[in-house]
Amino acid sequence: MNPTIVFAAWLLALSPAPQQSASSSMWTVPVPGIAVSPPLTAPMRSAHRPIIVMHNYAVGQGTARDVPVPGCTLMELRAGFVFTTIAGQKQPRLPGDSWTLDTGTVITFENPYPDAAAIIRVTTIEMQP
Amino acid sequence: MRIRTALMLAVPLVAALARGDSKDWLAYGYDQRHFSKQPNETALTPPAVEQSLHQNFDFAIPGAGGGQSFGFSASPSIYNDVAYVGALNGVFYAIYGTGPDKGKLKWQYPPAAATKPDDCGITTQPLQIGQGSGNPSGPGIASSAAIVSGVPGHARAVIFGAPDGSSNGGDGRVWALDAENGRCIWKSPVLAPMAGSAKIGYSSPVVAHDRVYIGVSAKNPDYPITIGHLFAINLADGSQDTAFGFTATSGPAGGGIWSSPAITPNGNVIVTTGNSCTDTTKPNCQNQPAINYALSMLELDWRTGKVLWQVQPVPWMLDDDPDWAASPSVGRVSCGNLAMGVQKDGYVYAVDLRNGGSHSNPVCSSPQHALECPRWSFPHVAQLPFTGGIHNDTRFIRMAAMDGDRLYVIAAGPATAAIPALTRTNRLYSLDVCGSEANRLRWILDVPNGSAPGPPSTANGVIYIGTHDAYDFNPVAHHLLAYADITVRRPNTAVCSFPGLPPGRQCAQAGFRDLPVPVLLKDLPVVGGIPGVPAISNGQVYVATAAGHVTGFTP
Repeated sequence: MNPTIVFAAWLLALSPAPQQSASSSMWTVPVPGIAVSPPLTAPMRSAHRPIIVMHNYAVGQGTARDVPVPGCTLMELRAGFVFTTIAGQKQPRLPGDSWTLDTGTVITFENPYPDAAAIIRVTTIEMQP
Repeated sequence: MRIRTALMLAVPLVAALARGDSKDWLAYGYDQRHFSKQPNETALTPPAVEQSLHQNFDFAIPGAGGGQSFGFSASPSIYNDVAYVGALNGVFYAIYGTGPDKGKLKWQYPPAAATKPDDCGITTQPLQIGQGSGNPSGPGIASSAAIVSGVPGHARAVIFGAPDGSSNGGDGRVWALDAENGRCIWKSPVLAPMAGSAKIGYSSPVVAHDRVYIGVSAKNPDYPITIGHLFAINLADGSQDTAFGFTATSGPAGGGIWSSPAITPNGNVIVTTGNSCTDTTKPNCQNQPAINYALSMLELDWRTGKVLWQVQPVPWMLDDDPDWAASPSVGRVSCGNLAMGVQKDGYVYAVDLRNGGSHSNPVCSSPQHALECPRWSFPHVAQLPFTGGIHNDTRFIRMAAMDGDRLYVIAAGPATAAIPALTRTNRLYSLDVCGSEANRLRWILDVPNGSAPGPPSTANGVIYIGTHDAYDFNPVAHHLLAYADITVRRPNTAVCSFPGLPPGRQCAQAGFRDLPVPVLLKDLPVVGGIPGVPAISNGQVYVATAAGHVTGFTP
């Protein structure tokens, strides 16, 4: 079975209603090439205290290189177009495409089009320190 | 051959008459191109607007004081300084815009008092659906009027679609009234029977080839969806031209026509269509109809209704109700002939108009479904039809305005509607329709005071737009706003093309850019929101409000 589907189903089964972070309502630009929305978070009921964190990434025209992912991550392209490069493999992504990334992976985004954001919904499982 | 030659000569003549080429504003969007531009305006210059535009008259529907029953969804049309507009109470009004009687009724239809039915069977009953009509496309008149010559025995006729209060509680028909005295000249055969699921809602008539083209949409929006049809009515006598026909789907439902068709430079009809289903659990959504012209922009042969091409960006399987509800803007620009418009999910498309027969492009087609590609989309779409993404009822439903190569359109823009928190249905974009992709976006304006501003109009580089909140018929303070295009007034503020970021360093770092914001020239108060197009005619701007006022502004 497609690992993306398995992972997505698992996330959906676990996810309680997400909460908007009260600490920020502004988008930020943590690395050149990507604007990131404030997080939506949902705790999971586990002794390891993992939380599900959801962001939207907006990739403008240009390249965002070697973006780290903080945990096990599901990405879904919601609008626009982007090339992703993961472990040296460059792939075009169209709306509706989704893919998973393991903790510690880095990903490069490239959006060739002006005034057309690539909107990526990013769902990560992060462990509390 | 002689007949063909005569026809070829007649088409431009009829087109010129329908266009007006005058200071009148004779149809929805000015003329059958829907550019919403008054090309012959002299008094409403940018300095005059800025210095002295003020209220000249105000008319209120008797009894107006809020509520859908007294509101206007339609836009006014103007002939000889008289405003013609129908209301949701089922009454059509002609209102003097100048002179000692300005702001007073010239006539209304049906008349306030009558002793016997007229030639159309109407005494005083309103042109309204008795029960089961959705708002604000009903229950009365939501169709903006076209004012035309060509009806024998009448200098000018006022043409619009409306329910017939004397026929089964509101059968939908096209009506022709004498512009001078408001008497009914003819009513068409029933196009949207009360026994069915359709009505003539927002669809405004476009007149060409001595025919009136008009569409039908769901009687009660989405409950249930109807099959869209486009009809041709003979202008002379109101009979139906049965040689013309367009049916949007082979069933069970889909492709309702909420928009007003437009006419191409070679005389064909451009139409946009609504959705075929809203929920995959519903019966309408189980199988794609064999004929599926829903969610599309199409060019139809004006004689027969035959489909010449179809652009359908959102395939049936992704239909979450992104009706193509905005009327198209169609005509000549510096890089050719284009048909343009925004779909309800916020994407804008421009399609090349070519001469010749039917055509499609395999690049944009799907199995068993031959589709054409647009010349461009805004924002850029790498592959059509879409394979995923968000395509729902995001309320981008306003017709654009067009000035030269400059399109003014309320759209989703670079962020699309994929992020609900950033989806702004009040963001007006100016696009260079012939520019390169890198230079297409010219400026951005967040229209204040309401989430659903009306469609823009323009003259002399001034853009007029009314503020409005969806489904609000209350007599609350709203505004007619006049902005200067950046070609006539240098802007002094900027906004980031991505709505989540402020202009400046962060915007550029994320791969977006700062764009100018046009300068506000005038902010004028009105009573109630303005859902329609501000009509510009002979030195005056006319608006009709959801709270039942028609107001004129002059320098």
